[in-house]
Amino acid sequence: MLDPNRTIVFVEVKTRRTTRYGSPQEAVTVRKRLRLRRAGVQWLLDPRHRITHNGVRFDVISILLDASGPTVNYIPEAF
Amino acid sequence: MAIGGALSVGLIGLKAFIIQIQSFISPGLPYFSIIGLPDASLSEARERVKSACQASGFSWPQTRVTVNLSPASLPKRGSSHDLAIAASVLGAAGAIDTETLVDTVALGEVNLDGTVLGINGLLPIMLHAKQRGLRRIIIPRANEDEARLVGGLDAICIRHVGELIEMMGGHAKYQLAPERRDEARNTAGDGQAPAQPQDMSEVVGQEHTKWVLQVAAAGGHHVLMTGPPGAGKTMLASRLPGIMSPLDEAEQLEVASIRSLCGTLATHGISTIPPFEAPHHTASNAALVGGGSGVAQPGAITRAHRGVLFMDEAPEFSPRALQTLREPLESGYVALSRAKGTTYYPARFQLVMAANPCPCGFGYGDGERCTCREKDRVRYFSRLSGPILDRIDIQVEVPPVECITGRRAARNPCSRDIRLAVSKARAAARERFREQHWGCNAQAGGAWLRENTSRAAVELVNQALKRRRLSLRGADRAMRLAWTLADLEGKESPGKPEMMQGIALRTRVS
Repeated sequence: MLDPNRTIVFVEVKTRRTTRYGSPQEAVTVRKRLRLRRAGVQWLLDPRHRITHNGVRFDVISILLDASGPTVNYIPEAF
Repeated sequence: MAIGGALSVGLIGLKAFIIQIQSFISPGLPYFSIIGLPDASLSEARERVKSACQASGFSWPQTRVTVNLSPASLPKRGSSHDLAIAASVLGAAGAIDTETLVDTVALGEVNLDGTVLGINGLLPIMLHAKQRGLRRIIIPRANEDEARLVGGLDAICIRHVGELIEMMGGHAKYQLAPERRDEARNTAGDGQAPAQPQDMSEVVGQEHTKWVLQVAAAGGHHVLMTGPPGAGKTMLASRLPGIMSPLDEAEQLEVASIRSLCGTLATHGISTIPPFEAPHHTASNAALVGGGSGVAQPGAITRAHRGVLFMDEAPEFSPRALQTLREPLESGYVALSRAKGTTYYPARFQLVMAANPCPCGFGYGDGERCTCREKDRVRYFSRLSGPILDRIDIQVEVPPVECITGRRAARNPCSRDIRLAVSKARAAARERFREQHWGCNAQAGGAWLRENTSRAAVELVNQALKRRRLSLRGADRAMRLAWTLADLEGKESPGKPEMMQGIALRTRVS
């Protein structure tokens, strides 16, 4: 998506029903971050995605689904 | 954005410094980092602290946590800062009130279940904290007895990180494991009296050597004993601390600090008996003098500070090890230089060396039974030649014992009586050198000796110099011995008989 400053933002959404295997944010490991960056580069290279923009940003949204309802945590500029 | 802080104390050698720990919780993906030159065990604190806090009912922040250890240019090592790191993170997260940690030092290693474990080196740390005006200190329960040795500080003992949280106004949910008697690491000794060195009267005969050791103890002189195997050199050396002058308060604290750093305070406790170290001749250079990677650890000579370093089979030691002893023998401290910095350890010890007269061991007296070639004998002693021997004040031959019965008990004084005489002589010497701050005759400077020794006595020294029986350094040492002999006799200053004895003790009859 494009934010008001015309920066392209790639948002990674992670959902979990339990924190038994870690919180949703912890699931974004170093390896995943590298792959997301490379995927972002590939996406930008596609001629259909040519837009004038002002930089790139990666955000993470973590959603925890438990009995009391979803808890949403938004981490801008995560990596 | 939240910041929490705590105080800890680090050690480089025996020098302590205050570490200011600051934690910063910021938005980002979960990442826990510790900066400020931590070493390997301190970096592992990340796992320990995180696990311990979670075991205390605190939910670790799922975001970026950075811990800084100031001053950032000094290397920090060890696991004693775990508790302070935990406290600063808890403060940053708001689980405890940061105001409660102001001017408070927190020390301790934490286990994964949150229990607080004991640390080494608490004594020098507490002395430094006291000196810097920090009155409150949080320590592990295992170090409780050691903490009582330093007065004037409010020491709070805890067993679990949860106790820390509750003490600082937070809520904690934790399970304390029942205290096991064998587990509790009591670092200041289990209340029993420290092992006393055995009595000098247990050694059969050897009156001359016992008297020589008495002189050595009174004046702080280094000794070389040569004699056949089985003569009793090792026995006599190990009983030397029992006849040495008892340590005064300042010296006791120094020795206790070193033992605390090495973790041996429990076995020895604080006592007035000087320490005794007897490294084996296969010991490495680092084990003898101090060393190891990173910040250097104290060696045998530091553990023998204010006490006796006994080198049995002295010619068997590696030449390198013997050469490194020269500097500490003169200066009283050892400087261990590494790329990361130089560590200074005190090393004012009394050296006692024992050697066989020759490789086969029978080269004493008239040397009838000796089967060594002249070349072997020379080579055997070549390692001890020159600069090392020059620093040894007394060289004595320990003859084999010829009779194990028949000596009157009156001629066999017990250690307690000898110690009394030695303490009196030492006190006299200390009083005399009060201005110059020398502790004993062995530390007296050559200029002072030449000025204050009587003419008649100095004349004897001149004669020995002329006949080349002594070097100039040997002359100084003979004069020191003469002063010690005078102290033992209760005389004001050495006369001709004392000087003659001093010269005789100095040169080796072989």
